[in-house]
Amino acid sequence: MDKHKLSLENDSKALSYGLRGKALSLFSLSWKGHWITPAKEHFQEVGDQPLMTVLEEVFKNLDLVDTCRLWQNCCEIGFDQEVPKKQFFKIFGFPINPRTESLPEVFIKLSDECLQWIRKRRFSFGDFVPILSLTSTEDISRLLKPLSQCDLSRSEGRKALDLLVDLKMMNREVPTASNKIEWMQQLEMNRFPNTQKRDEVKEQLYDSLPKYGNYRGVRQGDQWSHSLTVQFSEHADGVKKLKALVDKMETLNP
Amino acid sequence: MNVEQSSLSFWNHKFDEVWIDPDVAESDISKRFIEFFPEKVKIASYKSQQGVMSPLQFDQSKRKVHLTRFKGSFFKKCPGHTKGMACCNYFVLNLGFQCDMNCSYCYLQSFINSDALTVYTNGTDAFQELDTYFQQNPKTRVRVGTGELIDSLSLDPLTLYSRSLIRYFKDRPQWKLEFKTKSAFVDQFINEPHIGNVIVSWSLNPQNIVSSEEHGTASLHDRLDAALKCKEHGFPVAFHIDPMIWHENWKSNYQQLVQEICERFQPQDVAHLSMGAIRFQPEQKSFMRERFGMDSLITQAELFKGRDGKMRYDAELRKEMFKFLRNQFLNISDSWKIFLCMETPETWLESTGSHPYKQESIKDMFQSAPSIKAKKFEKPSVHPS
Repeated sequence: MDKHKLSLENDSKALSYGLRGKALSLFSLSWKGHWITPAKEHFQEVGDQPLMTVLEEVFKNLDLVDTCRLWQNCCEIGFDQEVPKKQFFKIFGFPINPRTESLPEVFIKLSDECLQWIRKRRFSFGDFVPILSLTSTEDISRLLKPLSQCDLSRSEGRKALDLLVDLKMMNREVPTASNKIEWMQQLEMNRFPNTQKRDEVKEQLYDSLPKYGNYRGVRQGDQWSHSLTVQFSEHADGVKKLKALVDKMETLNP
Repeated sequence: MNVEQSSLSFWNHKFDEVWIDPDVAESDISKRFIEFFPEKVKIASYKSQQGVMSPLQFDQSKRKVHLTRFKGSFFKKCPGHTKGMACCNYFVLNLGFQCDMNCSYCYLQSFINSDALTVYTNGTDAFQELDTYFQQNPKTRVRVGTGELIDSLSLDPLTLYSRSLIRYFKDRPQWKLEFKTKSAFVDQFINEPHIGNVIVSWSLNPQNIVSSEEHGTASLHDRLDAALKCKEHGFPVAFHIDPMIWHENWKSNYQQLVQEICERFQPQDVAHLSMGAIRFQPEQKSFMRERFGMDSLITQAELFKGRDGKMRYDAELRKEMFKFLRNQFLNISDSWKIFLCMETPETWLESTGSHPYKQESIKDMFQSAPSIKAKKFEKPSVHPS
């Protein structure tokens, strides 16, 4: 690929990521006199190649966030006419479909904090499908803030996002993010109050059981079960404790 | 004209376009569509867009009919036979896919990947597949349903598939055919001679659920009336109270539903009653939320991932619902043949007291049947998305 330096005085439509205050890993690139990436000190002119070839060769390993930004720049200078959106994102390894095609535009409006989190956790478009149920981009930015604040993992983020969208659309209280574990529990309590109540009723059993046991309810998907831990020092002690526990349970639930 | 003139506006309202592939334009089904939708028919090769659809595209696909020849296998084992679930050995005969009705919970939302309501015109090929299986397994008692990917009867006044199916099954007394529907269209086949092995079944829910979740379907009253008409003409009927949907007054509403059924039917009139609770693939949730918002009892529901990966109510709640509904029927008569659809053996045990394989009234249904040999060079037109 031929690379020629161009001057910043060129009448290109300079597009600056800096204006949006977003840190980028992209380096400067100009194509046929149009800046595709921020023009700083070092830049390259690669105008004699088809744009898609250039982008593919130069930006081999873009993450999702940078791919969206690059797409936005291409759109602003009209390059989306030359490269179909679907093809563009497919080349960079982030395929879009009719379901997710509006997400790049949503992403580039998110706060830096959110974008850093999305980048760090290597999210895909599919992970953000729940936000398509919302209508306002303002809602989306605000909604995602606690997810990035808590620095949730990808799987936690997916789960929390779905719960958050539900709560938002049900006009239910969205808890304030503090401790990650407590926040996730609070999300579930607010989203599944009836199930929560039923589970709590079952846990009342523990009040009647011997105090030497450690009891808790465990939910795994659609199944709920009791978990108990009994510590004992020697065999006879164990037999005694377990027998007392069984006897008690039989009187409670014969 | 097989469709009554009085229902012209009903049908015209349903579809915007009818595409007919040129090579099937002379089929009986195509001729009826041409006769019925003269201004909407386009005889041209329709290139359906395949792949993941947006909610809008899904909505539009219900309004665009595509008549075509199917080159894949019509006859399959019911896909409900998944790991960990008790299987009732049902077979399906798919004569099309997509539905003209619009239930909020419909599993086709996570399944359909084509932008038109597709009706296959080469039903004779489907019969050939049945013939092949029949020849290979002459003594096997098989139940075949046509309502898996498309409602069995909602388009039947246009396709008239019911008539040829009834005629086909008339010569195969050890096989059973089941039409499964949420429509009330039975007049088109009601006078067809049959030998009692064609079961006409309805998916039922209390009217408040029909109104809030089963958009574009016949009312509960109309479904039960249609079932009565079938009963009067000697057709066995069946009811699927599936999906049961939890809501604030679920007990009284389902109790009322049982009363409405039992006022009209005796256990001997009803081939079987099945119960199931709402279940769907996790990916479907966002799709439903976009299409129906959070006013739907389905999007509001408290659901968790089940053993089979589908979203379901808490297992205890499901058992409570099944037990309650089953007892409502058994309080009236213990002769109802009630089974659970797509449920775990544990749920069976705790809801009904025993495994299905041990229950005299239904154990025949749970005997395994030989599998179907796949066609060579099969090219399915739909696959789970």
